[in-house]
Amino acid sequence: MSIKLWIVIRREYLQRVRSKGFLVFTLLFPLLVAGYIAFVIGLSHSGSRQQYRLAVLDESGHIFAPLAARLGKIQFHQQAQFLLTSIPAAAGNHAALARMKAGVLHKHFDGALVLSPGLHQVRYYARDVTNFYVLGKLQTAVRAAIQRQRLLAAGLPANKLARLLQPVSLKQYKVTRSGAKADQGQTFALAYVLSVLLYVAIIMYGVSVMRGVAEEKTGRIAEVVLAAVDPFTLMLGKIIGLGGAGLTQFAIWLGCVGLVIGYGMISSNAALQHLPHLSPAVFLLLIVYFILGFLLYATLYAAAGAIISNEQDMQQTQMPITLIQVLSIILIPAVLTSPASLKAVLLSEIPFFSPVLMVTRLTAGHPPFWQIGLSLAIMLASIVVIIRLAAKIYRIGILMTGKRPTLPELMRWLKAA
Amino acid sequence: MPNAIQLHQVSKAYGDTQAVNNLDLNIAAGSVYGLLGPNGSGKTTTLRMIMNILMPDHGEIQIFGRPAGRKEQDQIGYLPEERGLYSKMKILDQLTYFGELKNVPRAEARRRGQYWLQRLELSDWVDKKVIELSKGMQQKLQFAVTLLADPPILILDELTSGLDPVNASLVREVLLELRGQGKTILFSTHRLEDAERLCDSICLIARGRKLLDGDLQQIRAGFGKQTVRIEFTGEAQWLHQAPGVRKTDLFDSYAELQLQSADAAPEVVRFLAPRVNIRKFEILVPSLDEIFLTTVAAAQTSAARSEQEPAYVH
Repeated sequence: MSIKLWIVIRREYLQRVRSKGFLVFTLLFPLLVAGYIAFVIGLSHSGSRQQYRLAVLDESGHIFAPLAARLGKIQFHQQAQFLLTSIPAAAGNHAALARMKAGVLHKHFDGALVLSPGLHQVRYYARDVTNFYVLGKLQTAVRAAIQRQRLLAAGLPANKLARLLQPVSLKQYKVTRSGAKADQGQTFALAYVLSVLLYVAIIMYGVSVMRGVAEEKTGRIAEVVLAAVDPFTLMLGKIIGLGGAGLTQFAIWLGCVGLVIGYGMISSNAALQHLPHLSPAVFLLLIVYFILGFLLYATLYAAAGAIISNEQDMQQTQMPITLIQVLSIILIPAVLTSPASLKAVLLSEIPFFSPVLMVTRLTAGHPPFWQIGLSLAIMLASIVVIIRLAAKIYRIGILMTGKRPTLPELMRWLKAA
Repeated sequence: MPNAIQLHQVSKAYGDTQAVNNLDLNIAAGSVYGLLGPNGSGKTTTLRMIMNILMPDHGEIQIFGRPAGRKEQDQIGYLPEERGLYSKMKILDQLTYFGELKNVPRAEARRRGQYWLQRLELSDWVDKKVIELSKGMQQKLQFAVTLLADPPILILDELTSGLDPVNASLVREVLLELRGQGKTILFSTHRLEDAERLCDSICLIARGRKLLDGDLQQIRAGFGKQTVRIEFTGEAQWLHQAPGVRKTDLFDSYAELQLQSADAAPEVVRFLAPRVNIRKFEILVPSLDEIFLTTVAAAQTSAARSEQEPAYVH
């Protein structure tokens, strides 16, 4: 490694790490993520923060009492969360329904439930029908009450019903080498968080590389630097220097995740003990995927920076690269639902998707070693090829002035020696 | 001693545009050499090829007798026409960085940086970022960047453009000192008064071709002696009748005579002396400006003429 490469790397690294933005973002990002998660959790629970007044028109005459009993058990600030009002069925049902709807509209009620005489149909009227919390509770309670009523009508003795209708729930366990552990979606969340973290880190530093190259080009600094180093050294130095800064930041973020998980493992706090385990090997692989993913994308971004001639070009030029990255984020759920399926394996072996999707698979399951090894090998090979191609574009683009080159022009640059 | 810079039949084309065409240059070590030419004449391309930033399509470039390459690059301080500095980097850091890239150890680069900042009257700005400097200050900083590694060859493209007269003279003073130290200076400019003041030799190029090359005094001499300025009293008609005069331009207080050849001057004096009262007789030394304009104009007409000829004639 030449000494000049080292000098370029050091400048890029120090300039970045010493900037105020670096410090702020290093600290702010974990806070933002934590805040975001809290916000999402808070949002999904916000439905439970009020009392619901429901009008019930029970045309069968059998359901209101058991329904009220069931819903009445749901407590909220030491009082019943659901207040049910029975609307007499005899008073002319059309008129009653109209009154109920008006009541909902004028906020005397939050919702109106109408049960048909034969219990074949249950209708729910509300101003807000997307509150999944309320809908879920209602659905469960109504279903249970009606089923009970049907069983009674079929002649089953009431004293046996409680046992027959006992609810069944699935409890989830994640099986790992260190044993099975109850899991209520933490793995899902962690896989998502880590994949997104990797995505953010790669895109952020990739774009920094592009901006850095564009700064040198449009600020005509390139010519001064190229009077002392060759273009390849300059490009590589920038990628490695900024990549090092990115790695520093990513490692700090990972350290935060690791601290929280580690704290969860030794803590007596029940909620924290539910945090998923993450082995040191997975941490190591996360870093490896960050490095390779960064090298792959940063090289593309460096070439993009070299063909930009002004600030306006930047958005447009980086778009294709960013799109590929966004695509890998969009594919996370598909991989997460079945991390070992052929589809997931194939997608995660595509070098442009590997950094994000392999991390998803690593946290969600246990991909075989050969698949991990293969994806690393494919990425390495792609990096070698892409660096060569990018260097050709960079070499010519960095000194070009005037219009951004067209695609055919770029192809010609790639073909030139 | 080999020439500091030597170009042999160097050509470079961008697509269909021939930027530099079979250019030969011989720049002696220790000389101050002016590379002159109108905009778009191929100056910057030539300099970039000497700097090994661009590769020539044909031809050879040698620095102190060795083919131009990575190592030779470090012997040259290059000040490009388009200035470029990292706008968010502090100026001493910047100097140190560029010094290090030219193989000066860090501590030494810092020390020299401080020296040049002082010398160029920028000391008060050591801790400022480039973006906070005025344009003239940035120019001087760029000059310091070029000088920091103390290279034997300096390539200065439009050195004084954008400098006020005070700073321009400060920079020129430094340049004279560097010449005194025996550095080879390649000076590229279209500001001819600078070249006139500083250069030993010049080369004039246009459209990538060399039009003139050599010692500035000799070039002047070659161009001069054909114009005579005369201040007189008496009958102006005698001027028209003087032998060996191609053209006569009469002005209010003097006349300019274009001679058919430089040798005709004594004859003109002999003819006019008894007939009019000569107060002043001066053989004009052409300014570089005139040489530049005449030569470039002549080259353009001949180029235009040759373009009209059908291609198979060549």
